[in-house]
Amino acid sequence: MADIKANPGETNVILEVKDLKMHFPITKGFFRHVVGHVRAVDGVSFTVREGETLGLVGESGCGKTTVGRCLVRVYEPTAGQIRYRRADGEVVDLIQLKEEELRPIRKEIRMIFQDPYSSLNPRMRIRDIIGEPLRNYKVCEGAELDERVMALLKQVGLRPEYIHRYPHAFSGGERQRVGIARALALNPRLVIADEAVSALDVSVRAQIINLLDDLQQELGLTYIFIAHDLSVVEHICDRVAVMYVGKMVEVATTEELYSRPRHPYTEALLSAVPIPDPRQRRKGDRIRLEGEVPDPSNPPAGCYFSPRCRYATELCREEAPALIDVGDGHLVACHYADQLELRGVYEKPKPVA
Amino acid sequence: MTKDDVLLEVRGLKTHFFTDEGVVKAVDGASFDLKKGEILCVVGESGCGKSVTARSILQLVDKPGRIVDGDIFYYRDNGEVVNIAKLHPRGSAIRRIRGNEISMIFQEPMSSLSPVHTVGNQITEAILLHQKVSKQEAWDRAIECLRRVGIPKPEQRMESYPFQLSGGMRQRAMIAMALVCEPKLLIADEPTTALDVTTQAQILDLILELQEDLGMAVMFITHDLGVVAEIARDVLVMYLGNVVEYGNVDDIFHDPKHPYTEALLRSIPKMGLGHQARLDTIRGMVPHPFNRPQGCTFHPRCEKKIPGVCDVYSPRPESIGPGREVNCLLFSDLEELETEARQGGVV
Repeated sequence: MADIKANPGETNVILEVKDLKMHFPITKGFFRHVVGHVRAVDGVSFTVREGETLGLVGESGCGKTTVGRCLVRVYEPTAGQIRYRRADGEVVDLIQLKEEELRPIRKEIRMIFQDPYSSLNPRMRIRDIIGEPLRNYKVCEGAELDERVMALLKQVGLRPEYIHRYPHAFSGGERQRVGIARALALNPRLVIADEAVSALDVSVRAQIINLLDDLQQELGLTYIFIAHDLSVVEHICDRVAVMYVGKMVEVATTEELYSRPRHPYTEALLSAVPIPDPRQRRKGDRIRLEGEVPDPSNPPAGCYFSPRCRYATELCREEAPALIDVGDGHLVACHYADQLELRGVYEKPKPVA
Repeated sequence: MTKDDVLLEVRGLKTHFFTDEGVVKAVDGASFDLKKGEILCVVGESGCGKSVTARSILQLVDKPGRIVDGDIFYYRDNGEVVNIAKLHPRGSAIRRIRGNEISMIFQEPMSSLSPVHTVGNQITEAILLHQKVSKQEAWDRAIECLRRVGIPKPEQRMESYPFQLSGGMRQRAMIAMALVCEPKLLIADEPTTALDVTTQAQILDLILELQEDLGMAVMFITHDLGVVAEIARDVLVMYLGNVVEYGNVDDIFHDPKHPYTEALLRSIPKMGLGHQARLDTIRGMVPHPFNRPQGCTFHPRCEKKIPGVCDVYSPRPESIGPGREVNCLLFSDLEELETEARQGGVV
């Protein structure tokens, strides 16, 4: 894996996460003594390159949202490093920083949330919602702030006249645009989009995806796109990281991951996505995952996926595999990554037009 | 299609909600047929009236909404015909049908199962309500049903409360409850939307398998076109309370006629095509229910709209082949419409 310090020549890495752990204590009784831990994120490492879109996918409870929140220090991670390269080339570890040292960096890393209905304060006007970060950081005030907010509204495809409205006057897609405008207000470098399009209808979802795409090209943004919808992820991400029960199981470029997955969980995940074409119905040849996602407070021994994996052997049940590079930056955490011939989504015969 | 195949015939269904701010026409003249033992998928964006249509079939529309017009004919095997739309929502006639001959499963199993009753209690209640069996018999049948939907150790699960089950298991328990009286029709309202893809695949397989085994019809409501392609036989596309297109799943996906269906299909990212440049979008957004556009409700967003026609006349369903209907003025005889409008003006 590219180390920022070890390879000073590689300047395009903007964020490097190393062995990130976030354990939530389970407390019990009157004195709230700790009886165990939910290992929501358990040793996750990945890098984000400048200007790319990294997809973070997995099922609910896999820790993808927790990773996103650790990156902006909403949670205080239990262990690990989050090394962030600032615009001037200075590399800082976000976990070590004190709150006041973190403040300038919070300008550069912003977040877009899933639910546009609960993430906007219903008692604030659009001007205040979008202008709040500008005011907090004393970027501008008064008429200048109004102007900036109007420019932002225009940038995300809303009419500048909406500046005095309240969120209830907007539809879901418009609210999501407001959320995006707020995230962009401070000219961030890295935007973490947590399920930013999951709650939207198909026709509006396409608009927001295109908007995110345009903004990236215009402003040179880097995205971490947290999502569970693999067809959307394929559409917008350059690289994809797959998580399972708090661990990273596979990281690769989108094309590589979708055409040639190397981890059995990725294969099953891809196979479960319904294809919007009735002529490609996969009766019988879909991989059915038996059982359920393990409890992150009491994970199975060995590889966490082994109880549901159809290729699992004794070795898998005893020893947890490490995340290793199998070539060209394709990282896999599977003992048999080299031997398995797994199925992607590209091999499917294309429909006859 | 002969009349014998039809299980449910919906004609001109109108369900409106009378709120303080005005009337919301959630369903405004929906007509379609549901065939025996087939899967019909209802698709559309939020607010298109797909859930309200389903709830109307069971007379489950909450206040201030009610069915204001239209018929829902339900054909029993013995030749009896019941018009559900005319039944009293709390009468005994609809109760005989609801949960027994037609049952429903919902999106969020946590909020639609009772949190203070065990799974076993809730399932046996459905049996005892509709059938003359002893409690012991009902209990055994409930266990059998849980086993049927793939719940491991059903005897133990009977004693569990819903919060003790995972999302997928809860949805299975709800399916078991819906199927315990062997209904003729299962209405599934977004049953997999809250689930993960791998769990969704399990539940879809289960519904397909049960549908085949029990020979029941399924009305499957979803907004996910991938799911539609996976399970449907016929598809009903809805927009703002109207049915815009109806047809065989293959025709809908490969030969869509209505501009809305076309646009909807173009706007979804397709897997296996790699990183694409741009998605096609439908411009604008679904209008607010209080100000529905004049004429065709889709015309402000439509790319094929004819000025002076689409914003004036309301389209009506036109048959364009066997089992295929489209609700668009592009397929209507415009002269006929104009004459009718003129005559209407004279009278």
